[in-house]
Amino acid sequence: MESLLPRSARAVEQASQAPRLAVVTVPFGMVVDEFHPTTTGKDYKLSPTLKPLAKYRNEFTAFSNLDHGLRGGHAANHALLSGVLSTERAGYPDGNLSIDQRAAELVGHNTRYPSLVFWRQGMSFTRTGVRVPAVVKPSDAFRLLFENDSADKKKFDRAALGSSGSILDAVLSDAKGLKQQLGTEDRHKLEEYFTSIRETEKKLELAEQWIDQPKPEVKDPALKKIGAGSRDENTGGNLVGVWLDLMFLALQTDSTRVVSMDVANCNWGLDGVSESYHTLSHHGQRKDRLDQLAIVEKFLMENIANFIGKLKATKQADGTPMLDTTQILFGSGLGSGSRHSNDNLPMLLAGGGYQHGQHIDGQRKQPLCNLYLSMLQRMGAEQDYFNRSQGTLTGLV
Amino acid sequence: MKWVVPLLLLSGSLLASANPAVFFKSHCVQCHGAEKQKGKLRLDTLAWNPEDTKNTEIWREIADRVQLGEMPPEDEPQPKAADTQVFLKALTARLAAGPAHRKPTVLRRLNRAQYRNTLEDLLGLDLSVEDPTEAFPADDKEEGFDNLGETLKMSDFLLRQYLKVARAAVDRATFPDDRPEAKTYRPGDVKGRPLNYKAQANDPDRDYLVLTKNDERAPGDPRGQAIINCREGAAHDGWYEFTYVVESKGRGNLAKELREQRRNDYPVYFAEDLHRFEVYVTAPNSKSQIQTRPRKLVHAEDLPDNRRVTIKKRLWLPEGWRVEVGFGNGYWGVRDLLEIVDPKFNLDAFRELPRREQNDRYGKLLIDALEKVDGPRIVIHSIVETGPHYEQWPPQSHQYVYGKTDQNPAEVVRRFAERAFRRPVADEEIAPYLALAKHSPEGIRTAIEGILCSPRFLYLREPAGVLDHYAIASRLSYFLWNTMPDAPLLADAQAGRLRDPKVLAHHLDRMLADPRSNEFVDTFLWAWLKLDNTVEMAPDPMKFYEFRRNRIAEAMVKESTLFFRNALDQNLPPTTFLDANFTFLNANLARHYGLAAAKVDTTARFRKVSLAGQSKRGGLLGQAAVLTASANGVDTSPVVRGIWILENLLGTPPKEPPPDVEVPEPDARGELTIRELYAKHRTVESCNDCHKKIDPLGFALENFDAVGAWRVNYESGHAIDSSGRMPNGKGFTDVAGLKQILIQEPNLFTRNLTTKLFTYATGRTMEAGDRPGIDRIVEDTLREQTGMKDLLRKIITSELFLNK
Repeated sequence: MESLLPRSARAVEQASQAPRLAVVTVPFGMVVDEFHPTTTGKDYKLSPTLKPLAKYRNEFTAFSNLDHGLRGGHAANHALLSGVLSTERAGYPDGNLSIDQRAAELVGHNTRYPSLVFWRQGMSFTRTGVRVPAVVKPSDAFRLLFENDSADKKKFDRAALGSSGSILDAVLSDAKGLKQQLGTEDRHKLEEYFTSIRETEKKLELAEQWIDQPKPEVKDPALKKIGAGSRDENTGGNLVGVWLDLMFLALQTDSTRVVSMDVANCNWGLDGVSESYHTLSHHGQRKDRLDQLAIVEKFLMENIANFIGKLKATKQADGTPMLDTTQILFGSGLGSGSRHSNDNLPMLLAGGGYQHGQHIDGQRKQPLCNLYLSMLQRMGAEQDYFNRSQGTLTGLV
Repeated sequence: MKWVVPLLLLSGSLLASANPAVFFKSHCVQCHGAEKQKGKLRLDTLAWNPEDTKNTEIWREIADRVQLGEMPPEDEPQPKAADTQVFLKALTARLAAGPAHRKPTVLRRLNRAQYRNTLEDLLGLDLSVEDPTEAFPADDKEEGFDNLGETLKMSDFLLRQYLKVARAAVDRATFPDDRPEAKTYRPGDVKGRPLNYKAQANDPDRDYLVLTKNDERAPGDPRGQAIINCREGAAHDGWYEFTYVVESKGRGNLAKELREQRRNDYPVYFAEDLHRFEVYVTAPNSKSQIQTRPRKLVHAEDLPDNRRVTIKKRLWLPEGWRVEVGFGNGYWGVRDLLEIVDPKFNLDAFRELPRREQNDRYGKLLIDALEKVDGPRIVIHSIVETGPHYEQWPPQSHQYVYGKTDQNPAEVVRRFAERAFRRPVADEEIAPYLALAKHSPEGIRTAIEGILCSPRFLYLREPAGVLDHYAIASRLSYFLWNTMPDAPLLADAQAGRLRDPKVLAHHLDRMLADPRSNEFVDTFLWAWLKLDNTVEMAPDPMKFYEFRRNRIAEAMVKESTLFFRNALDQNLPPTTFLDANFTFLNANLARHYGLAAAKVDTTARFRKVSLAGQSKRGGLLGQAAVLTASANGVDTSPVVRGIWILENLLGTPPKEPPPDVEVPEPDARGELTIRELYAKHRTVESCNDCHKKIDPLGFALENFDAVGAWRVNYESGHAIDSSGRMPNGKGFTDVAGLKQILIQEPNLFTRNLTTKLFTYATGRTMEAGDRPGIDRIVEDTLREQTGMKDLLRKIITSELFLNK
């Protein structure tokens, strides 16, 4: 599909050296034998699935035998970005906080949106275990990124912000009184409410700064059409490119520095592919389905390659490529979709200034959270653990 | 003989009644003792102290397994029935004697649905068209339930939504301007509003409109041919009344020609179904094209043939929302309808004409041709729309916020807070809101918004131990209505009458007779049967095409909902869910089930259908909602379905498989049958231990595909073998046989259903300490052979329900 890069939309100068994170996840695993390279190290041989990324061989690292040690098939998929099932969150200091939401805590205050989640809701969790809702339609994402609010809407927002402050004061004092009337267990539960008030006060302050800031301007007709909903009801074959373009624009315009997207079950509308994504993933070694999956997975990797390419070609204010400070994580919470396994997950990391060009075999000894910890440290986190991590990922420099 | 040692240490009661000890020794410890530990279970060291909470679980499991006849296994010497009874009696008596230790319900946040329903009642709003809570994050679930105190979380994200929605809701509730005048609109009357009654492809010279087709590919798809009341939408928030005089004509004509038209191998017009008239609402969105605006179905009605019908519909429309009507099951095929109706018509030549001319002429051409052959259509003889209407001015909702004109603001705030907090309020409790009313220039409305964000509103607060009457009123109301208590409940709370079983029974009858109780049926059923699966793992739209086109997904949920509702209204015994000789179907679902003989011709209305001679379909196990929820939208797995039944119907979830087990790679190439693939379960003992319980249940359902349609072969061509043997040795040849076995042992199912009802009613998961209370109710229900309504009555009058 055509590029949607808004030639005239460079309203926001790139903040140089700002760490960013882009996450792309797929729900039904990959054909693992085709995905994972068989040799490791710097001179590893690209696997069949990774061939479309050959041009950017030195811009990414492939991983195998990395996972969270979970099981449960689809039911464990939601833990991909945290390593922690929502049912076990009580056992972790940060609950099932996902890597993107942790990143948003670190860098989110710099931008209009601390983070954005696109296409399908389900992978991103806040520290309190709340699933971050996704922007489901491209037109809605367009509105968030480019459409300035009407004067009425701004007035409503400003008035709402104004009264929100005093409402928060009132409910805080009410909650304090209520706390005295509660038993221990209920008090503990009410703590969530107090935390939410504090966090809300901070976020409203940030939001206030943005009400009158104009959004980047768009002239590209193709992009405007997306804003009008032309791509909302569409095939996966069209949507993957549209969403990746919107992700790129969100980062390029510095509307956010943390953006993620989870591919939804879809019909692909690609040549040679007639069955839905979910059906194909249940291939049961049937050749006709494996052949179709190969087309889908090649298509996905080509799109990832494009995305890497665009970030590489786009220069920040200091002349360095955006890719240098943008980490791109690709992966799935299922290994083999057919077997519904949650081990040996297909994972890639591109950009972010690492010494890429290698295949690291985690040997099932290092948890996937080690990789996430390495990535978070690169985003400025001063922490030596992330959920299930045992340290940073050995071999990634 | 080693097991004797701990036995000697046992308390006297077991030794005194020697039978249980002998039973335990000869039938349990031989395989689960010091020498052998089958299933890695060792019982010789287990002390006879079932009432001790640290052993309760394992003793319960023993009781369950023995009761089910799973233990001792059939290849071991079998105990005499009388001995088994003595053993079980002794064991259950000891279990019941345990301390009633249980975890109380934790401060429960209103979940999204409860919040929305409460907001409606509190402010007197109708939010059925425009849902302000759409942006709320999904509430977390445990065991399928999204109303559990422990699980429901608060977050800053949610709190900001509460702030926003409170503001928007008060905006919607209040009417600062003058009362708008009601107007009347009719088709063709373009003076009032631009593009009033836009009809796609109609004939401007006729004084009636004709609906011919519906190319809606899925529910909510806006592409269907429709007649739109107004491009601009409602002029003001308010009630609008629509009166349609419609007539279904030509049904069944051109049946052959239309039936030949197929999409993905499915016929798109069924001559045997009555024509369905539908009303939708669509959201305003000046920016997007009409095509992308999804529409929401608000009314569907099957029309009799060739008879004028007057349909009245009253809708609360927020400003800018529009109403459309359509021919729900109208033709939608690959070929243009005009070509089929008039085979001589030269469509290619017509398509050469300028676009505008095509548009102007097509409607007349089609309707002319269609009337000539009396083709299938819905004729709209007249539409009259009037509105906006208000019951009073300013509307009640405005009064809830601002009070009556002479009312003191402090009094208004207090009154509102009492309703919002569902109990009387102390002065210091509303002091912060009274201060808001004074300080802010917007005064009273800010106070109202504040109350809507107060933890006293957002959480259901219950005192420790015995519930006070107001807490009971709320528990009952959120249980049966999923919304705040109404005036009669609060009155009885104030009078302190809500611990009286007679009063509770009276409220139960009253509340179940109220349509709000559908909230209970829908929500409980959805959670209990994990119907999320029918949406989240929705069937492949291409593979199961008619599933979407004919709204099978909604129909199947409706079937199970009506089935539950009926069991409740008729006070049928819980075992009705295991097997029944009737169900509720519309034409699409009857076809889906291959029950043409049921002769259901309605697609909007569901009819009670006898299943005499259709033993495979009776009860939950033959209902498509269950069969879809227990599959994954693509194919079925006997293991997944077996576990689903154990978890959700029998309440005996199997243990997690050992960590080293390799899940077999599915092989759909057809070289192995699914039975051969899973044969391993049978030969490896550690697998077989659970899979002998799981697999037979799943295999029995293999004749139902991933959306519950009947099949005799797999796609690979292998014939389906649905026979099996239960762990207690009873064999069956198909699902009908399985149901006979299950119904003979109604205890597990009834207990599970009761447990789930308690979970939903109290907002917490049930634990070991709750078992004696649940077991008593189950025992009474089975002994007295009482029904579902009695079960609910037993629940709401139980100590479990009336304590935190």
